[in-house]
Amino acid sequence: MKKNNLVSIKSFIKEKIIILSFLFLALIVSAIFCVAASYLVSNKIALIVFYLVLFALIFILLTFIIANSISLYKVCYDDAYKVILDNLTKFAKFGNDLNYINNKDVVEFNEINKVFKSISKNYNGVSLINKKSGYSSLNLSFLDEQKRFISEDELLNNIEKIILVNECFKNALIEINYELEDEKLVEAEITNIEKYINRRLGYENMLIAIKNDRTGLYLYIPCFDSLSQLQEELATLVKDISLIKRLVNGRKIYSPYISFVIYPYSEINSLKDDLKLAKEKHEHLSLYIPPFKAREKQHLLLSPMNLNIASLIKEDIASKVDKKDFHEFDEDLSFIVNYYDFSCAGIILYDYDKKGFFAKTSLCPNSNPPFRLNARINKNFIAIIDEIKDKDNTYYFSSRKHVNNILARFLDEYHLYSGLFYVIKDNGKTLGLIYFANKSKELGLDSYLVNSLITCSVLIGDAIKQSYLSSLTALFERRFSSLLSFSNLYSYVVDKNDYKLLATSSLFSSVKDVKIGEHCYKEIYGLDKPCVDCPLLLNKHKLSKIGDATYDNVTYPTLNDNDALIFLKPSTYSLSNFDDNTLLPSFYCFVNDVKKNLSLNTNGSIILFKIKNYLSFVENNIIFDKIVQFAKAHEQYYFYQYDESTLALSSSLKDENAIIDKLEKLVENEADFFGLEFIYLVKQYKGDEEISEIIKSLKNKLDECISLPKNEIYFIDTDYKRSASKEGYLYESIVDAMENNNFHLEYQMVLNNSDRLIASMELLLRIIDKNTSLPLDVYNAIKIAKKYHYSGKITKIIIDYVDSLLNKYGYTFFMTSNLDKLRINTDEQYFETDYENQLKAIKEKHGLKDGFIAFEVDEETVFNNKDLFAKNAEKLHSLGVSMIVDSYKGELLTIQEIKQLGFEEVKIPRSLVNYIFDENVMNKIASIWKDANKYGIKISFVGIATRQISEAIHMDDNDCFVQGNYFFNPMEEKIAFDALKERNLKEKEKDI
Amino acid sequence: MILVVGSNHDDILFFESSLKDAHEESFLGRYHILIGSIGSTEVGVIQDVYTSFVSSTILMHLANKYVISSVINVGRASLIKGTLNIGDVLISEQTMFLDVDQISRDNNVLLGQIPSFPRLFSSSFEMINTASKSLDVVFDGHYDKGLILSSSFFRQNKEDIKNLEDDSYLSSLTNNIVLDGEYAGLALSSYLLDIPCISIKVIEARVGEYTSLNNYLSVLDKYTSLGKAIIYFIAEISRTDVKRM
Repeated sequence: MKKNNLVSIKSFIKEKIIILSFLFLALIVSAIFCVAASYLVSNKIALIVFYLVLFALIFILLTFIIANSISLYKVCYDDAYKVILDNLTKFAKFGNDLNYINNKDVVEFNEINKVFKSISKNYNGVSLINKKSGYSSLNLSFLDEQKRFISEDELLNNIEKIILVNECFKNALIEINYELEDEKLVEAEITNIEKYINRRLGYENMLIAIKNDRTGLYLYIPCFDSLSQLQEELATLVKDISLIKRLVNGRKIYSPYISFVIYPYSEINSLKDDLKLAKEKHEHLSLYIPPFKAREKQHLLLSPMNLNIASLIKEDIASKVDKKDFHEFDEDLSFIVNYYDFSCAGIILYDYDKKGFFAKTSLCPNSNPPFRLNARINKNFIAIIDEIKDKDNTYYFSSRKHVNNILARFLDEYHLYSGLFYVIKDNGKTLGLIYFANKSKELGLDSYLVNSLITCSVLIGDAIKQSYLSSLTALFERRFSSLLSFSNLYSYVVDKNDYKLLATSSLFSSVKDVKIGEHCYKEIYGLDKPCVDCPLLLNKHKLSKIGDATYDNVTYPTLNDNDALIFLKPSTYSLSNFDDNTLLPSFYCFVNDVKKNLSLNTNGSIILFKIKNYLSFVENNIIFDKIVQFAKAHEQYYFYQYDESTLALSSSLKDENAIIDKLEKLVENEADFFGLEFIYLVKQYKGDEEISEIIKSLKNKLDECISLPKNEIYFIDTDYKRSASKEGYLYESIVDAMENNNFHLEYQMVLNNSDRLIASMELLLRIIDKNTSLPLDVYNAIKIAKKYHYSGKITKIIIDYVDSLLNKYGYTFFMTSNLDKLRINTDEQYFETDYENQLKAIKEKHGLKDGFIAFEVDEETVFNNKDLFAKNAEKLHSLGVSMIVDSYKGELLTIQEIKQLGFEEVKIPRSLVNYIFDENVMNKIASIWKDANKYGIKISFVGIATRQISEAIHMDDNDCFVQGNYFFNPMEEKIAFDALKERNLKEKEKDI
Repeated sequence: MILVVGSNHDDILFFESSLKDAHEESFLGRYHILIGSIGSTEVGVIQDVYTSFVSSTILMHLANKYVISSVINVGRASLIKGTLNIGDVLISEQTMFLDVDQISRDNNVLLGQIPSFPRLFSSSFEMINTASKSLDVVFDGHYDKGLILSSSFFRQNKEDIKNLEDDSYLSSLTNNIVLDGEYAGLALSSYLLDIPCISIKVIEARVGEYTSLNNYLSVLDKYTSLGKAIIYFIAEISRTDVKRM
């Protein structure tokens, strides 16, 4: 009855039943005796005694039954039932602080306590997904009794609470819109759409809201697994929810426009704006994900994250990453399989020999694995997962219904219902796959657990990759050694550090008795110390003699960085034409080639690439390596080794600008210079010059030029120097022009679209390159100036110029000419200067009216510096400056946001205006224009080049500005001001 | 009753909106038929019919329950071979099961043939003629006729049907061969029940090519005018009383 001093409930009840049976038997026997006695015993006293005994027995029996019932009730109800019920209630509410049954004397209760303990332990820190909770805590008011629809306001006003109550990583807000013109959705149509939404999407806890204007619906989806799959489902939905309306001129089918955004990619506060940007694409299915920059300032998830479990698993796996045998990962996989209760897990890897994917481990504790151990796996299956996986190399599907169609077929074949795949990649190549899967149940994991699982997969994947690649290297090396020993070439492998021979080809043994493990210089060349011309030392060319034949030693890297393979190649060419160290054409070769050019009386140039930091590489003995690397990376150029620190190019280019162009292109990709810093000496020659004179003039300048900055081009004939880096040159030029007043402005007229009078002028900076006398690429120069934090200064100088302009013409001239604005392009850097004083001074000095000076800032700059513009909006307003968003495509900011940031106008760029006849572009522009009118933002169109485009830009009130070559080209100051007088003043006179 | 059968909701959208006094009846636990009248003809519209298995079963069931005079299959198809473009309309002349291979059972059985049935099921000759006249009214001859191959397997891979493109027998029958999912099933049941049937489809894509949403929208554009043409067709077959072959 007792087991380890503990009572078992079973034996406890058995014991009580036995005692009760005895007592009951005794009672029956007594009763029989009583009845018999009443007939046989005439003595009344004796009878009374019998009855008393009988009653006593009944009393004892009842007392015993009551006492045992109470005891059993207490044990089963108070001790067990209440605690179990309490715990289950807590568990149902996603709690994990479970109570234990106090009665520790009962074996079964201790067993139950153990289970409770394990639940508390395993679920500590995990928030289980609240699948059935719905939105009861939010008290959303539904529009119908069946709780199918809510209103647009109810959804959008409560979106933050709705997102947070779901605690999911990916949530989608979807707008289904019909361009119904004057029609509205009727009840039956809404019900039909709802039917198909539920049928095609089938996500739990979806919310459907009817738009206030009844032209569509909003749909909120919490917790979806894969973006590509959601897109696929929405594309299917499009095919089911078209509407047909009877119009005056017959029936018309309306297909839906579905636009959607994702939290947390979009901030909660920006969901509505981002949805609008998605909608503006005017595609039947459009997703908008804001640029990453917009997201870096805020926390991705507002609800607290608890990744304790992930850390535990991480530690466990991290301690075992150096495993070599893939089966050793079984332990880690089964840990995860048990923890997440997966049906199976395994690793699939690419086999280089068999050229295919094979199941390397396959864990499936209770059933047959989907992929048999060592079975070949369909490569299309791997390719499809590789194609549809997320950017973190994983593909998670919580159930079969949330799987991309393209993959579903395979999953059905392998009988997988839910799970996660992690693709192991190496340099873009797919090495294999780790999978965790369930065969017949859904995966009810919350976002954090999914991410823990992904973390674990990444860790195991990295460890597998490491061991896979190292075993692959070992395999290749083994094969390489075998091949080497049979090869018909003189070749050997040496350890670069101690010159010890690691392997030789079998041909060696036929000539010499070479011992592996000994020094190569001793065994092969019979020396006591390394060869002076050892190819391993300076990449130097070495000649060897074996037998009567001469060989060139050619070095190749092996798979192991410490070893080098040396081939002895029969010598075939004359060394004098090639440099010993780098095998580039030698100085003599160079001289010969230039000589040939001169003899043909050709003009040309020589460009010497002097290595400025030659000494730092010489110390490390790697200068020739670097030169070889550089020459290899620029194979399109034919370099000569001029001297140890100089390379030479012989070019047919004669023109200075062409040479600069060539060098600019070369310097553009400085990453290929391998740390070498060059100075470029250019010598232009004519056909009648002597080679000796040319070499002499180069020699003199070569030593002098070392003090020049890197990337400097030095034309030794004209003594002209400039940077070969385009960026450096442009920056130098713009700074030089601005500081020394070597710039001028051109004026681009901006016209009212209604009367075509000049409303304002945009000031365009023009700089002439003093060396080429051609206009400088100001657009790029300003971009570079911005990089060097100089663009604010440029605006400052231009405003000073405006001041002088106002002095020259007088503000009255502008007033009488009806010119409202001078537009200046700027960016955020100007607002980091002392701009207030400058603007205040110019305003007060000339009595400028508000808005006369206008700043144009492009959309991207405004978007990236929203806070700065929001902060300065009021200040700028008080300084009478009007702000304009330039190049506005409506991709980053909505008109509403622009209004809030204090901007007064948007400029639609040439890239949209030129395509205005495209229906999508036209719709986009119309939508921007409509919004601009709604929020009182002016709109202007840039780059109007033809009459057709000019005519296409019109709206009922025509209140917009236009500019472009069709009206005016950018003009010099005098011509511009004459044109202003001509156009505006004459019109005014006509009016008078 | 004339039965109009489609797969997607959009396929039958036009007919759904044309029905007068429509009421919905459920059958077989999961399907719904919308019964109403177009002009003076009783028409039943049914959707969600995917694969020939379902189309055949449904028609057998409905024929037991209602008096069905003719069957019109509508929807989309993919072009295997022919000169049609995306958005073009095709009238079925014949149909064949693509997934059937009973060759090893009987030497006389051909690929695609169910033993003891013809290999190709023909659409009703009168219906083809009447449909052509109705389509002429709307499309002015801009439609074509051809063979529909029905497959329950969603064939996106061009390799799967490569042999069909080169099949000289099929090519000799018609210039246009298209692929759908359900018409052969309807044709099989119609054959057994002796009900005239026809399929009028819009080309959505070429087999093996990616079907973009834009393709679908161009099909949708066609649905209104095709819907009108089929309404004329229904009126016409009611008037001329083409009930049985």
